[in-house]
Amino acid sequence: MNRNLLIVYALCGILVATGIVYFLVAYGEYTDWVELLNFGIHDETTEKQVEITLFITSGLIYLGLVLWLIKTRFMKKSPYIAAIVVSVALIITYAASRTVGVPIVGVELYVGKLDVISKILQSVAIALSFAGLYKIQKSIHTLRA
Amino acid sequence: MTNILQNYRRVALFSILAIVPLLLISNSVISYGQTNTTNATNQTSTSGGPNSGLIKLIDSGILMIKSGDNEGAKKSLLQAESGLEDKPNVSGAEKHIEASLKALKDNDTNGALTHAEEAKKGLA
Repeated sequence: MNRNLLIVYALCGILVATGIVYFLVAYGEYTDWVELLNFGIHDETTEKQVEITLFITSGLIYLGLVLWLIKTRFMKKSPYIAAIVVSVALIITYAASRTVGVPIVGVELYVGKLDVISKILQSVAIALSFAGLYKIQKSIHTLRA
Repeated sequence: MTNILQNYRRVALFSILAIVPLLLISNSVISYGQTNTTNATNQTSTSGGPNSGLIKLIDSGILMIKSGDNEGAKKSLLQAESGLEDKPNVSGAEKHIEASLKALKDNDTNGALTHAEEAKKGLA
């Protein structure tokens, strides 16, 4: 397998893994919400709904990016750029939620295992997307030369 | 078409390769910010204050965490959180209780204790 393909397949693998992690986080939030409701705690309902929606949407976006990459046969720049933008946006949102706070959710104080794993995966996805973009750019230059 | 199918197969293979090691190491990953074990005593005076009942619940939660009864600790902390509903002036304590509950879920005893102690401080 050549190096270019290795990068894109690794990127796809990381994106799918990130999507799965987001689904796991969403499921965790859902079980938390159910527990809170069982204890008659309704304060958190909106917060939990927003979080669950965000995590499921993020998971779907990551899976969608993989399908997009495959559909464009890894040759278009746009899915790579989208992967970078989405990952950076989610990392910034996460950092804000642990520091200055985000609307509705406020400041969260705990950094969980899945949080760390997802941030590592997203960082790798960003690096691989840049590598993919670089390879595409290089191929274009080679073809023009 | 065959090409696309091959791509999907390879993507599936790489996805498994990416997620399996992460799941395997997930139990050894140390959560940042939760490792500073607190040795603070949990014998805060609970007599008289408006939140004494809640502090007692958190105290019993702390004792249960220390004794390894995570389920019991979870119940105590949830009861404490339930008592904090509609009290915006102690939202900091509520956030710490939530963090403690999340740490318990992750089997992070140190994190759970640290946040429970912080919640107690916020109510004292």
